[in-house]
Amino acid sequence: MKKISWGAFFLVVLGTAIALAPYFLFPVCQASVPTASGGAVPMKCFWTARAALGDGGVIVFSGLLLFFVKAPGVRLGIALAPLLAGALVAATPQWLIGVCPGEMMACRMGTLPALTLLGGGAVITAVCVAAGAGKSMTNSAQSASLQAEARFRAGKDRGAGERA
Amino acid sequence: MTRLTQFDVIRRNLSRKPFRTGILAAIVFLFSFTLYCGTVISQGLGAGTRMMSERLGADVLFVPYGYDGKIQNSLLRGEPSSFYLDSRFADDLRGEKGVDKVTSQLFIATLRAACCTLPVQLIGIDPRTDFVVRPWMAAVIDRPLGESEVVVGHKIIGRVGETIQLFNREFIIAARLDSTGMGFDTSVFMDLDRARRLLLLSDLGPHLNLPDQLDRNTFVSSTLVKASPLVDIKELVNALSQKYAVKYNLDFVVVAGMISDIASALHMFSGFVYIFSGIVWALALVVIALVFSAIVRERRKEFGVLRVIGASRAALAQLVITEALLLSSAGALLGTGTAGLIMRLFSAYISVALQLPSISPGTASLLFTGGGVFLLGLLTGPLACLPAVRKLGRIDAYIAMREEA
Amino acid sequence: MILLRAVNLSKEFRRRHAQGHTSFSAVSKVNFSIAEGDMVTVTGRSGSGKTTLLTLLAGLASPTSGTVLFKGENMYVLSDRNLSSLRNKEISFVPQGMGLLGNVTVLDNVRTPQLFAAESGADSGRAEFLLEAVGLRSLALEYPQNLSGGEMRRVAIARALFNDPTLLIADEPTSDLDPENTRIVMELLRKANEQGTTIIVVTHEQDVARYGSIRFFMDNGELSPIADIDGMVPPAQRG
Repeated sequence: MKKISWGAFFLVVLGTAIALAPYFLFPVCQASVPTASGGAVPMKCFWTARAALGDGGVIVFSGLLLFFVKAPGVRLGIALAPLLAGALVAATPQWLIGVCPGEMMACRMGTLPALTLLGGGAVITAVCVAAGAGKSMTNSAQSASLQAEARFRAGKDRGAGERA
Repeated sequence: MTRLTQFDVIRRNLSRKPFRTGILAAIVFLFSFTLYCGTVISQGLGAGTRMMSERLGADVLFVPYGYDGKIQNSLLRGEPSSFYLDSRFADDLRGEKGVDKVTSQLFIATLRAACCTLPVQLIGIDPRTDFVVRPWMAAVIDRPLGESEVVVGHKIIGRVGETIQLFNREFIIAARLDSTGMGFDTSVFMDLDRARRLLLLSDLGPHLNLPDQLDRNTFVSSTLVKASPLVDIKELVNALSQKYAVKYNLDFVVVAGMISDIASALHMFSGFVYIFSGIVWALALVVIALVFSAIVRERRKEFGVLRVIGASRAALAQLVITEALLLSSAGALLGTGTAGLIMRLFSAYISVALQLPSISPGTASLLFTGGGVFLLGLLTGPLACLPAVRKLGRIDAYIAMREEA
Repeated sequence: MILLRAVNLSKEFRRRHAQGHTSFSAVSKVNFSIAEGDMVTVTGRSGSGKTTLLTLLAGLASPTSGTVLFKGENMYVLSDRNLSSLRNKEISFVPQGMGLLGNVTVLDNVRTPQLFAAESGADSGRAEFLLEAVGLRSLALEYPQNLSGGEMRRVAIARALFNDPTLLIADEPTSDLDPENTRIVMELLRKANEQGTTIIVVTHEQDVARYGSIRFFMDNGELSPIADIDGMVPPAQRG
């Protein structure tokens, strides 16, 4: 049975959750709210949700790539994308854009902690994928070095035998 | 090269069977997660219930007929509502036997107070007679409120000194109350007469659906009664209802009964949590015991080899117990950590979802509870593998090797 | 100096039949002694009790009667902890069959005696040296499942030599091996013997038995010395 890339699987799941949570699980406000004087006040949480949609897409795409790419060096590079995107997902509702200030608003009670948690999860998963890729690269180098040493010694012994 | 340790061997045993390792750790994770979340929620509900019985100084709440549910929702969940009662009822009560204190409150649900806020509950209190809110208001403000001043509940937006808009008028936040876990957290408090005037002068004023018998200048929403010491509350309520219920179209809420209902709900919830956690723990013990029994059987030859190279029976037991300890520590750490994170991040959401008064435990309490749950989770593996360790003690290295030959 | 002495050593087993139980003696009143530096081979057909004898000499099974003295000390009065420590430091055993840990690399298999040894025991560099000596340095990071039978046997010998034991006991170390691997394994044991390790090898192969400076024959649980080519039985073989 082909070995499952659990890191890739979790990134796809997390990325999907990040993209959809602000719309289906913890819905945010509409884009703007009309005031009594006829103006419109933009809702920060709406734009946070938009940003999360994009970041979630990046994480999903990276996860899908990781299903097919096996070379450790390339996997290490790909893992950087969900790592940064996950950090952005966590930072956006907290500082970069924000959500509504009211403690009892759905976006503050639900969307903010959900994106913080999911973004953190994506960062941790990306770090694990990168660490796994790094370890594969080290093991391959070690194994190649031992085999090269063995071939060198075999060559030396054969040469000594021939000279004798 | 560093020395080979038993930890290295155990780590490799676990990582070479990732599915089995994952399942066992997941069971301990589930147990730790469930127990931690349930315990923290129970603690929050318990604190909320205690706070409620401390804060609600009244014994009985009288409201218009059919509004007993509304006032409970407002107190417990902060669901704003408006209802109206004749203020003369309070005057009548003051002379009654068995009644120690009487005060009235006005409940007004605002519309959207400002952008980005939900409707809040405006509560007008009588500064001369109030015995419910004033005692704990005194902890944050020790002077009478000015004409344009309000005191806000813990979850209202705005800092002390900033303004809040109510019915198109601006008020200064004079003080913020501590968290109560009740509907008071999303309420705004002001002088009763001022609140009444504000309502009448607002856009809602001309459309107020007041019963005919109510005076537009003196109506209230509820009358709160504190009984004299040693008075039987049920008897008092019966007597007052018989006398005044029809006259003023009354309904009532006995506070002790309300708190008792909540306490019962809390006990049921806690009971459910601990029973469910107990079942999950028992499941974890059984599954881990069975798997380790299989592991010992599967690795008989390996244990035989270890005996050959100098492992005592105690050393083999230590290896198995350490493996179980590592497994359960991973599950317990992840379970407790994840639960702690979720409880911290979603505390407000959980409080609202529970629809019961709840105060999130502080960081120190969360850490202490987490430590206890982690310890219990940690011990699960070693406890469960003891039967397998006993079996290990009976392995004869010679026989184990003969099986291979 | 006498290193190992067996005194009236016996081991009985109960065998279950359809008709009930019977007892049989796998080892019957064995008396012999081995001096330091000896290379001993024990031959006999399958079921003669050779492996049972080895496990008794290594302290891996308890005798029904009699005892084994190692450096003059009765092994079977030692606690499990002390006996295990003796096996770790002084008496190595190369079991028949694979006898390696499947979840660790070849290199780590060689240094598994470190798991139960004191901090002052052999260091990890010795494992690399021993793998080099048995010609398997390039396979250090492989897992045992990827090795041939002969390679696994050589790893087991390297492991047995890790703590520089006083006595090395090998149970059929060349069974299932081709003649070339048989020669390699026996040469390793002979070299270890030349460097001071006392060796006891159990085998059913006569070619392997010839490596022994002292030879015994086992039949129906009874051990008898085999005379050398001069017809003399060396003094150390007397009971």
